Amino acid sequence: MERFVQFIVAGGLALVAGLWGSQLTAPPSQAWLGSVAVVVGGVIALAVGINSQIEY
Amino acid sequence: MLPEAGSYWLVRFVFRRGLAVIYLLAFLVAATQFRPLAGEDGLLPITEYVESTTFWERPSLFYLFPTDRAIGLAAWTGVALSAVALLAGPYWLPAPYAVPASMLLWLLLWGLYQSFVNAGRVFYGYGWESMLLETGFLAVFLGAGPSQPPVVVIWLLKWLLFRNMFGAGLIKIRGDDCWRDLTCLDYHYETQPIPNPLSWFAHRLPNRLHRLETLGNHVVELAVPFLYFAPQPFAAAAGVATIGFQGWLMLTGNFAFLNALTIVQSVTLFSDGVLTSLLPIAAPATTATPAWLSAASILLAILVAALSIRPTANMLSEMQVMNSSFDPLKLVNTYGAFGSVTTDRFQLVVEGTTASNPTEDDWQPYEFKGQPVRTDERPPQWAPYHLRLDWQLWFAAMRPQPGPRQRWFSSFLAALLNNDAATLSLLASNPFPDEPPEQLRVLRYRYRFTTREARAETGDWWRRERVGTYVMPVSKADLREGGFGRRRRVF
Repeated sequence: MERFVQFIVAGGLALVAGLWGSQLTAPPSQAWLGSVAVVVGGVIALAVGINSQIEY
Repeated sequence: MLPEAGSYWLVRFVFRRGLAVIYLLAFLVAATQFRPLAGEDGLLPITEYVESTTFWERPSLFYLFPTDRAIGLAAWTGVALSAVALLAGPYWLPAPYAVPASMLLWLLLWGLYQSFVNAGRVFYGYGWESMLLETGFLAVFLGAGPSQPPVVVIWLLKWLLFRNMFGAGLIKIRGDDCWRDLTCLDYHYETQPIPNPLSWFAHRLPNRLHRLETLGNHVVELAVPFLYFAPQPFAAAAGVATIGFQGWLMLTGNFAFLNALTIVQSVTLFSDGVLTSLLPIAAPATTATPAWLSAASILLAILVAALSIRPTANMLSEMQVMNSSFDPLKLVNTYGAFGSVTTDRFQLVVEGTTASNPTEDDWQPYEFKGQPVRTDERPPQWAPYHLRLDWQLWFAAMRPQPGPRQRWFSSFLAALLNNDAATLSLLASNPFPDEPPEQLRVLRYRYRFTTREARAETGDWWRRERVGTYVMPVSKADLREGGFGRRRRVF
């Protein structure tokens, strides 16, 4: 699997896990903050994965 | 535990009505096109299919009954059953009968369409055929009547949509430099299989906007699909993005029922709660999913999980192959579209003449329903209807001469030389209504959309230049001397 696919798949899975985590926990608990951090990390990984293939 | 269990009655209702419309169209296409393309006397005769495979490799009713009568009967039965599905037939029955009747109805639709896809060969070699079959098979297990659909099946449909979109996104990034440098859409609207009335305008949008569109394509196909599995309202937002993306593709091109089918799949990204807040509809009082249907849906999920291993490995592989099936029934497949985009549009123009020694002025062109021939004709809207001959003409024109996948082309010319009514029904016009032509030739052109200035001045949508001769002039006598009849090699 290419590196950009690894980034995209890992980022996508983190995004989904984080969104579920944030819905199943109450803000602003630590678990909720952790879920939000996972969401942000996922979005960044997705962006890095896609962006790494683009030749502007 | 899956969330929002028991809240997909409306989702099922809307999804099934949409799927019924697509089945209806697909069977209408089969009723009107399958016999001239792949029937007893088709361009690729049905007997070739029977002789080239086994029933278990490519199961079809037409393996057992390779006749035009059986083909017509199956197609029109499919049309009738699709209409029953569209009118929600099983819902009229008393509750205990609704689910089994619904399963039988959707299973029949799936089985009938399977027969066309497996016997249709190159004319049914498109990704959306197996996608319709996979979607249709899952629809069998959605239940009916007042009972809730099994949530597991809704999630299997999300998984199918994910493979559809994510597979398309990956094959693009891997397949063609123009997807990486964001220039693909500078060409795509002009070179796509069958442009539609808005393709010219989309092609003439500023290239800077095309770059943005291409980037948006990557986001919608590579990032958004993960949200299909997210909680609401994120899944619904992903649904809106996917439907909007497919809507734009429908507005700017003719891709048969691919985009409509993807939109129908996207309905499963919503919940009844979201749908009722968006649309003026409401779900009735519902009952729990029958236990036996829940059990069947679990078994289905196990089967799909097992059959997903190879498609998933393929999707994640550097050697990704799009639009492939890994089992004869096409239960779980790989998908993708436009892994490469051509920068030039080549067109075949078939011309005939009644003269024995024709001059250049004696040749008259046949016109196709979707492929451009005349330069002053606005590209037509056909999708979600599928013009199967026109799609194959697009593939054929990519080569300077017919290749192995164009075996049908010699039969096509022979049929035109005989003014074969069934074959002519696939075309927009016949310049020889009274007597068939003496000779045919096929020219190859490069077609380009006109500039804004040229269109304003001439009214033309296309300009073209001849780049070669695809088939030299041939007559019926030439075909007879070749000794191959309708299957003669004339190139």
